[in-house]
Amino acid sequence: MSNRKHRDNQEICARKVRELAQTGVNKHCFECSQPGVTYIDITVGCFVCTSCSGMLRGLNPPHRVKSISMTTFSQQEVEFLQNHGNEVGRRTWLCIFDPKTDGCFDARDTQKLKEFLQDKYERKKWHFSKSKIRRDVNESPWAPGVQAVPAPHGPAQNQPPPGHPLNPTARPTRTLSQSQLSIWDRAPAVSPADSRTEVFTARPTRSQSFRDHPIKDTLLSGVERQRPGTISSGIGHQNHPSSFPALPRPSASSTFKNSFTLDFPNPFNSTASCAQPVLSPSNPFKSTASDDASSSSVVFPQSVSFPAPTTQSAFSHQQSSNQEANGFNSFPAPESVPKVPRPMSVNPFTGNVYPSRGASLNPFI
Amino acid sequence: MGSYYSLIFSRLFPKKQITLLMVGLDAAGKTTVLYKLKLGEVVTTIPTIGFNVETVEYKNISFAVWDVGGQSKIRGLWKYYYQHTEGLIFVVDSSDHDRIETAAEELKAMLAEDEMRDAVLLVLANKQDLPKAMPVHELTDRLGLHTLRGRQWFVQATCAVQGSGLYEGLDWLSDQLSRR
Repeated sequence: MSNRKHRDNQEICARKVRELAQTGVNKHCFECSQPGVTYIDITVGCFVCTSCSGMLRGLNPPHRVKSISMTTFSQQEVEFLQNHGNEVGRRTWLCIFDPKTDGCFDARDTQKLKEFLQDKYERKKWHFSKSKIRRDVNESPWAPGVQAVPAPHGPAQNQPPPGHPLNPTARPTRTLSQSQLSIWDRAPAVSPADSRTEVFTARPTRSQSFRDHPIKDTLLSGVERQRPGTISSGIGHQNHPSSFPALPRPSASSTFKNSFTLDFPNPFNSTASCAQPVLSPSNPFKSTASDDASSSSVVFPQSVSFPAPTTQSAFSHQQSSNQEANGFNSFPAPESVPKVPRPMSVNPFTGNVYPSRGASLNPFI
Repeated sequence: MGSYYSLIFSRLFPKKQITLLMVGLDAAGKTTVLYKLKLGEVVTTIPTIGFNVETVEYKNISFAVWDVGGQSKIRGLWKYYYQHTEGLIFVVDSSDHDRIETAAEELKAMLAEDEMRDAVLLVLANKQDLPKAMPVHELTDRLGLHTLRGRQWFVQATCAVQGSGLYEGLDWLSDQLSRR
């Protein structure tokens, strides 16, 4: 009996992994970017092709690779992959990679590819931890990274309009990546233990990181005020357009939805992508919003907007909708991202979790 | 003329043939061991799906070494290679502390098979060059080899990329199997 249960679990995990491997940038090998991934570099949580998996095994120290179809995955591994994936991997390992200066090469040249992998992982040449040195040189830390991946879809399409108040700056980059590096980054700034506590517990830290942006702060309080009572959502909805002039209109949401797997740190991606068809019926906003559906659907997801550029690519559609539906869980900050999406029960609007977790922190309840 | 003598020689002293099965968890270094023995060089391998088989000549013995992939879902295929196996080479990644218990379970299950009752067991404690590699005695304990009854076994520390320890292992195997 337990054996069968075990097998069922494995089956579920395997299915999740296969789904992940077909999501967004994970479809292409993280190393040579050829389409079709068959292996997973479980050491860094990236999806790779067969030949690259062989190379990765030969590194020093060797990376562990697992076949997508010929191995079993544990729940932890699935969670790890959900929180990583190729997009997070690119930001971590190719953070300061610039194809112009660091050169592009033909992925079929195995020798070059091997050297590239050695530079990438053994010497950590473009690793995130080295980006601090070059940050002053690169005005926008995202630019080189974005170019680095021969992405199947243009990352630029998700970029917020120039001059947008939340246009990604150096700061979100840093907070974000630090939290992702819980295992690998041995940079002195954040020890694994630190980042882990940050991830799971340290709400004050998170809000600090937002406090740098006064606009965000007002937004946050606005959202918090909204959340407990459904009545106030109308007020919130009036506020938002003014503070976010470039907010994607619902009309634009379809285009955003298509590209939502690209996890650019633009909070509005998720805003648009989750334009509410996925919200659970239990969500009180659904009903209040129904009279003014078009705008309120944009309004509420604000609470969702900060989380995790990182998770988005990793999650399957269903999971991301889960997370987005529960405004509370995803509310905090980029740091909360590595945490795995919770089941629906965490939804503050349906449940029990909200008072226990949020009561002490939210002054408005 | 020379070929004539060598023909007579080979008729009089035919090369002994030994069939070896080489298994172990994935990424233990089985394929690297095989090609280090066969070619004397380190090849970049991809994870084995199915098997590799090579004959290795050593000390006038021809070893047919079957190297079977070790990923978890294809371990069930190992049993199809048990028949006529005289020696079992079990390759272990000594630096992989997390999966040594898994390796021990797989080994135990394999040795319980009826077809393997006569096979001698050579454990290659591979990747000894890596930091944190378990020494041979620790590996022996954790694999539970001391509890084996009625089986000849030997643990050889190896480093496949440097080639150290591989021929010592074959020495022991040829020693054991030629006594039969």
